[in-house]
Amino acid sequence: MTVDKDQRGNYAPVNGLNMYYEIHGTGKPLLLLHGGFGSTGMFGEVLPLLAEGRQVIGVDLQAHGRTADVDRPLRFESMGDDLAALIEYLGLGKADLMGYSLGGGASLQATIRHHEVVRRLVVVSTPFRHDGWYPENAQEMKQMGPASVEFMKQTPLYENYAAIAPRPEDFPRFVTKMGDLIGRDYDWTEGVSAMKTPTLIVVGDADAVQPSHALEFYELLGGGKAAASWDGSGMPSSRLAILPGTTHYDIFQSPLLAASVIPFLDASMPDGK
Amino acid sequence: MTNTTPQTGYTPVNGLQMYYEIHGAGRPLVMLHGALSETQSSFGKVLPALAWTRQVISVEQQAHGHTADIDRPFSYAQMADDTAALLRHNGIDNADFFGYSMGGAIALQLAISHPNLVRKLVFAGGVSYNRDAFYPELMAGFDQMKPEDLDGSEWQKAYARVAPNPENWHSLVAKNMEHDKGFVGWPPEAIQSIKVPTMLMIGDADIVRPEHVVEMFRLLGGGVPGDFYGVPPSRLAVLPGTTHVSLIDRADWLVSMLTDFLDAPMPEIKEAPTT
Repeated sequence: MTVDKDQRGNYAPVNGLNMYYEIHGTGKPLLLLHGGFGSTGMFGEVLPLLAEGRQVIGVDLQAHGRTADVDRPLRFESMGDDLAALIEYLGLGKADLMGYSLGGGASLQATIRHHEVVRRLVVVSTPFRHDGWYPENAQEMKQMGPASVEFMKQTPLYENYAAIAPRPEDFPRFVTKMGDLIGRDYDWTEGVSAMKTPTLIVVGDADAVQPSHALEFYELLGGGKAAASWDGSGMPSSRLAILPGTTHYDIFQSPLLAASVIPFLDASMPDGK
Repeated sequence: MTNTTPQTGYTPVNGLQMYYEIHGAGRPLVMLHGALSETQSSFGKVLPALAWTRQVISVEQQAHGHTADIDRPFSYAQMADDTAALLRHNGIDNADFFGYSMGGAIALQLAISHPNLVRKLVFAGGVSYNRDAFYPELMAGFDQMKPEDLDGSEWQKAYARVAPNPENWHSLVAKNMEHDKGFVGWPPEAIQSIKVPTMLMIGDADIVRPEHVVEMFRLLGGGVPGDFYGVPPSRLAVLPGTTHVSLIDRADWLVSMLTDFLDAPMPEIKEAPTT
């Protein structure tokens, strides 16, 4: 994983945060949200591929990358509120959201809580209920805490953090707060069932999210219940992509990810209200 | 660099004059078309790209495309035997297989009854190993269908272009409906016994329930987190915004996913686990 030392972005005052964002390309806005312990730079070539046809706004979430932490817990709901506030601050009206893993959780909550500012949603490798993770992965998340700091410091994720965080010394507190977030059980069935926003769910076939859970997610959004007609009518406004030979740790740089997402963002269909 | 001119011909096999085409050069990839279809209507969009990097062999089944019908019902076991015999007659004793819908079921049957012939297998579109796969309303719809309902369709037009007896279209459709009605499939143990790397591909709005395809993926060793156990040799692809019919038009996705899968190294032979 390369360390991104270039700083091309700006900061927005959002809900007490000094929130870092960078803009790439022109066209319909797409907020792009990284995974846990990551930052915008983690998407590699996927970001410029997306930016060929739209304005990609890479955002570093609370405590991540170039956005310093503030004194409140890390929660998907508040991160969702931050995204909605950023959309308003940037005067975008509505934007598309695409989030991977932790960023997917934030994007999903932004859509559940503030659907009026979201046109389309792409959720990559993110469950809508904590037990959507394989037990092995869920167990790992529940074990994240202060004792994980030394181990985490050996990872490329830490190398990137140390290079760009406003206060790298926050790392132990960051790890503790992340443990408090990713280990918590949650169930967003109700919120997801009520969503009208056109949504693309993407998981790898060897992801940390179980394929059966991805199917359940798709069904909550109206999919997987009937075959479409020969002429394509009868397709729901939501979509499911399962990428072959793909894990939780290579999906966010996979050219297949960009190739699956771009037609969904560009398709003509009724937009979310 | 240009492709070599395709070689076409007929091989006498089990009473058929069975038609085939060979494009390109390199590791053989046998493409098996869908029901009522043939080479161009199933593979027109992907064949040229694939033939740059491998030898593509398209085989047309009993009563389909250029291959005339004979007086016997359709069966996957027979179609697999016919295909195996044609390939061996033409000096191919091991190949990759890409089957679309009916062709995928034939490829599955080949992996079960002619395992040494199959290096890797791709089943795309309508992926199923028994009748539970299909949406119930769809099954009801198929029962109501009459052969005339497909007059003027793309498949009928393709048939009219290449069939030795274009007036036999209704007979082909009727025979295919009979075949579908009688479809039983394979027991789970037969799918589990398949040792070759297998990729299953469906559209998210295909004719089969995705749950059935995930079950099949598990029988083939899939459905594990790759960060803990490594990426399994078998793969699952669900193409977004894609129907049963539009799947074969998704040329870019298909070619990149196929190439990536077929060109990946073969798994090492491991001892069977004792637990």
